[in-house]
Formats: sequence, structure tokens, C-alpha cells
Amino acid sequence: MTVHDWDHLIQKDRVHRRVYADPSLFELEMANLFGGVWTYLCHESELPAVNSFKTVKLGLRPLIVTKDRNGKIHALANRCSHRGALLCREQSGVKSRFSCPYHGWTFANDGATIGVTFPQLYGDTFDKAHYNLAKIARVESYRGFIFATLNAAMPSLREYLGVAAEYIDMFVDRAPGKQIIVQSGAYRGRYHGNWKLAWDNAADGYHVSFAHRSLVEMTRRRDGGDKGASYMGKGPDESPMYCKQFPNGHTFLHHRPGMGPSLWQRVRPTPGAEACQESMMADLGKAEAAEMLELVPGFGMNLNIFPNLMIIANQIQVVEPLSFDQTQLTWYATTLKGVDARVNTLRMRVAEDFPNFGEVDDLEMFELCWEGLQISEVEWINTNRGALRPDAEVRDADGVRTVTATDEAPLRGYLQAYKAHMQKDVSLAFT
Amino acid sequence: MFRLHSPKKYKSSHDSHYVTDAFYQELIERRTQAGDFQLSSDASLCAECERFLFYEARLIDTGRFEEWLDLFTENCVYWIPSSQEADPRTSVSITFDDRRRLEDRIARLRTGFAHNQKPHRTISHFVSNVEAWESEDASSRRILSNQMIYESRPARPLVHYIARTDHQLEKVDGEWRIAVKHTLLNNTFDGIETPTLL
Ligand code: FES
Ligand SMILES: [Fe+2]
Repeated sequence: MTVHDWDHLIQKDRVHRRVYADPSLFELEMANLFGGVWTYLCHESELPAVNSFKTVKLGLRPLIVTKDRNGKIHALANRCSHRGALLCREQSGVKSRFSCPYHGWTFANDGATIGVTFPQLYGDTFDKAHYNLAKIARVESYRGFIFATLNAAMPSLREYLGVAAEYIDMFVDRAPGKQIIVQSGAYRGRYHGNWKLAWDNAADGYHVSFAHRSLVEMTRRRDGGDKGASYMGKGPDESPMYCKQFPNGHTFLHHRPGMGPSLWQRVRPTPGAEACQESMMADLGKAEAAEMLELVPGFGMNLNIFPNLMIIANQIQVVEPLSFDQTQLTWYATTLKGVDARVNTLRMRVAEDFPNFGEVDDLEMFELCWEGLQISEVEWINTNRGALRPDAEVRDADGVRTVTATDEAPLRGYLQAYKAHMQKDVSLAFT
Repeated sequence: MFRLHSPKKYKSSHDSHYVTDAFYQELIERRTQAGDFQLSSDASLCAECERFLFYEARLIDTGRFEEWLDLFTENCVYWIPSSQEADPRTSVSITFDDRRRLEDRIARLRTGFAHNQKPHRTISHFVSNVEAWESEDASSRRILSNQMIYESRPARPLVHYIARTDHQLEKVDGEWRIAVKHTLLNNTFDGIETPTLL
């Protein structure tokens, strides 16, 4: 294994291009981070009934996440124990057993081998339990979000999340008593570039009025500009918006304080908005309709749980590195159980807005960075915005640093956590 | 010629009253039901429908986006679902534009700041397998087609979309206009670049 000089590669105020562009680091990331720390797999609502399953990836490892007949959740290697074929090719569904297409071995959804075809040739001493599917021992959930780690040395999920868990609470408790459901499909984007370029941007309040100028300008032409993310352009450092850098690389950008009293009033023009609003007012009365409509837009938050979960507005975005230079970003839309159907339909239309008009330019920025980073002699990426403030290293009792929306502290924070994890000698195992 | 800032001002819609539950219901039903449409074997009707698609494609491919927008009715939908079965009321689409959002889409492309359009993207539509369907009273038409759409930019990989496209045309002031453009992409399971215009 190559020895990397991490103190050289990731410094307090800059990071070396190799951290993004060196393919040999990718392999280490797929072990030390994806699998080495707690990695998000999927949401409990994606396994709504017993025997539900969903196929996901933990880094590059294909998994089947299942709910067995007792309601217990398992993360199984999606790999036949006979000669390694991918066992399940569907995205999701309901199945109590999985049959291998190659030679027909069958496994229960808790991983136990049910049957081996034509077993005679294996002899009398054959123990099928020896061929159970490889499984991840540590699968834990927090408020519906399912994570796994292959690393026995990791603390509990709750401990890994730390204070950031309170912000997951904020997302979940926004509509008290209304469960978040992830069953509405996803918007899949992809870019040519390293996955960490998306992380650099995850709590970046600095880029909005430049990278998203087409969206801001389009909004201004429509209604004079007081909708969408226009508030980010007007002196974002003087606004009440802020960022947080949490321990373990988690970050947070809160737009909500800059968005005025009503989120619904801020939402950009949305198909069916007037039709729904009027029919809801007629059915529910003005006050109740207004209250319900507040649940349509996102809550003005970007909460990023390192290394692969980003809760953005109402969406759950999953960062899926495909290789050191290819990244897929999957935006799962969410609905709320127990609200008027029109609220959920409007949530779908709002969920399409940013990927169509905003994310396209973010992905373009990532690709531009990727092209620029190809110059190997020009080495440094500067992450020093806000780093020279006299209080730059000040954190509260929970280890959290709170800064203005354009400070790069969140970026520096996740890179420090990254650096710490990458230097560890981890041992990973399935059971 | 491609114009970055078009001098032409389109009529702008300010609200969205027509996207109702009944509207969604109709969109879903027409995916599997022909309704009162009949597949036509009339050669001149087929040729006319084909010409309409070629003209529409040419407007996009030559950057005449405002004229393309003018082809749509006031109560139109431009819909790219994320899967064949998805109900847009409970599923997120790749794109679901009513008239107003479609106007905004063009407005964004014209701001001059749409970074993912620089350098300028060239779009090419290839239209085939055209079928013309006509309603009983001949007041509306449906055109089914297969399309391949390519987008290219200097120094970037070619982006391609494979589409099954379903147009519904209605007559407005004596001209055929697009009421529904429903495009099912066959290559979207993995991450895609959001199409500029299909
Ligand atoms: S590889 Fe699965 S049964 Fe042979
Ligand atoms: Fe952005």
C-alpha cells in the first residue's frame, strides 16, 4: 500500500488536487469510508412490508437490504455464495427468498441457505449453513435512516452522528405525526468528476448567486425575483442564514432563517399550485389549507451526513461514487403519510424544480473543477474562506462550529474527518 | 441561426389552474388507452403528422426555442416520466412542465448564464416509426414516434437519449398545437444529464 503524506495533502486551509484526482486513493476510500464508517443504505419506508427488499450499494459492494418475516432488517451481500453471481437484479420488491440464476441455489431473506440443487455430489457431510449469504453484522437505524458499517471498531451510529442527529430530528419532526415516506422514485444525475466535489458544494452558500445565476435570473424575469433562492444573492453573510461544521465530517447549511415567515409563499412557480391551493381552501378552509401548504416546500436545509447522505429540502440525496472520476447523485423524493394527497402531489412538482433548473449548473461546476484539476503541476485547492478569522478554530461544547453561510468551515471540517478516517488501519468484514 | 437573447417576447402565463387531479388522471389513462383515437392509414394524414414532428424537431435543433414554445397550447404539458408506470401525482418525474414552467425553462436557456449550455450545445433529433392517430371527430390527433436525440458540446462526450414520444395535438385558431408531449426515455435507469429539450 502506498503511504500518503496526509499532513501534506490536507492542510488547514488548502487541499492537494491528488485527494480528488489520484485513482489509488479511491480504493482506500471505498474501504476506509464506504464501509469503514457508518454509510447510509436506505430509508425504512422503502421496506414497507415484511419480505420487502431493496438493492443498494455500499461503496462498490452490491447489497440486498431485506426485512424478514419478523420485521428484522438485514444487509446481505448481493452475491451468491456458490460462485459469486449477483443474486438479485431488481431494484426493489417483495420476496422471502432469492434464487440464484446460475445454478439455482436458494437463500432466505435473512441470508440462510435454503437449498442447494442436486446436493448428492457434495457428499453426506455437506453443511448448507456454511454457505449462508455474507451479511453485515452492524446495521443500525436512526429515525428511519438505515446505515451499515463493516468496521467492528466503529462506535454506535448514534455516537457517529453526534449532534447532527438533532438536525435529522428537525427534518423528521417538521411535520409532527406525519411519517416521511420514500416511495416516489428518484431523480438520477451523474457527473464526470470525483464524488468529493459534491461534498465541497454540500454546504456552500457562496456559489449560489454565481453558479445558479441562470435560475436566479429566470426567477427574477418571472416575478421580480423574490422567490426560490434569490435571497442567497443579497449579501448572504449579512443574512441570518448559517452553516454548521459538526464532528465526523457532517455539515449543515440552514437557509430557513433567511426565507421569511411562509415557505409556501416563497416556492417558485409550480405546476398545479393554484389549482391545488384553491381546491384545498374550498375543502379545508383557508387556515388549514395554508398550514398544509407549508408542508409542500423544503425546509430550507441541507444536512449532510458523511460520507454519502445529503438531506436537501424534502429530498434525500445519496452520493454514489462509481469510480474515482464518475459519480452518480440520486435524489429520492419524499411524501408525508397522513397529509392531503394534493400536498404530496405538489411535493413531487417542487422536487423536480431544482434538479431541472439548479442542479444542472452544480453538476457543470463539478465537471469544470474536474477539468481544471487535471493539471498535475498546479497543486492546491483553497479552502481558506473564513479560516483567517481570529475565532476560526472556536467550537462549542459539542464540537460544533457555526459560521456564516459563505464560510468554508464545513468544507474544511469534512476534509479533516476524511483525513482522520483515511489514516486508520481498518479491518472490515462481513459475517 | 442560434440567438442567445431572443428579441421575441412570448405571452407569459401567470398561474396554473388546469393541472388538476382530473388532468393527471387523463394523462395516466391515455398511456394505455387509445380513447376515441384510431390508428390512421391515410397516407396524407401520416405525412402531415410526420412533417409536424420534423418541423418541431427543426425548431429545437436550430435553437428557435420561442417558436417551439408557440407550438404548445396554453394548457399544455411537457412530461418526461422517470418510469413507464409512474403516477405523476405520487412520483417524481424527470421533467413535468406545465405551460408556465416550460416558459421558465426557455427563459433560463436565454439568460446567458445557463452554465451547462456553454459552450453552446448542438441538439439533433432523429425521428422515426411515426404513427398517426385521429380522434373520431378529427378534432385532435395523436402521433407516436421513436426518437433519438443527441446533444453535443466541444470537448464533452456526446449525450444521447432514446425516446418513445407521444404527442397529442389540438386545433387552436386553425393551427395544430401540442397539448401533450409525453416522452418516455429508455435509458434513464442510470444517472443521466438532464436533457436541454427533447
Ligand atoms: S453461482 Fe449461484 S448457484 Fe452457482
Ligand atoms: Fe448549488
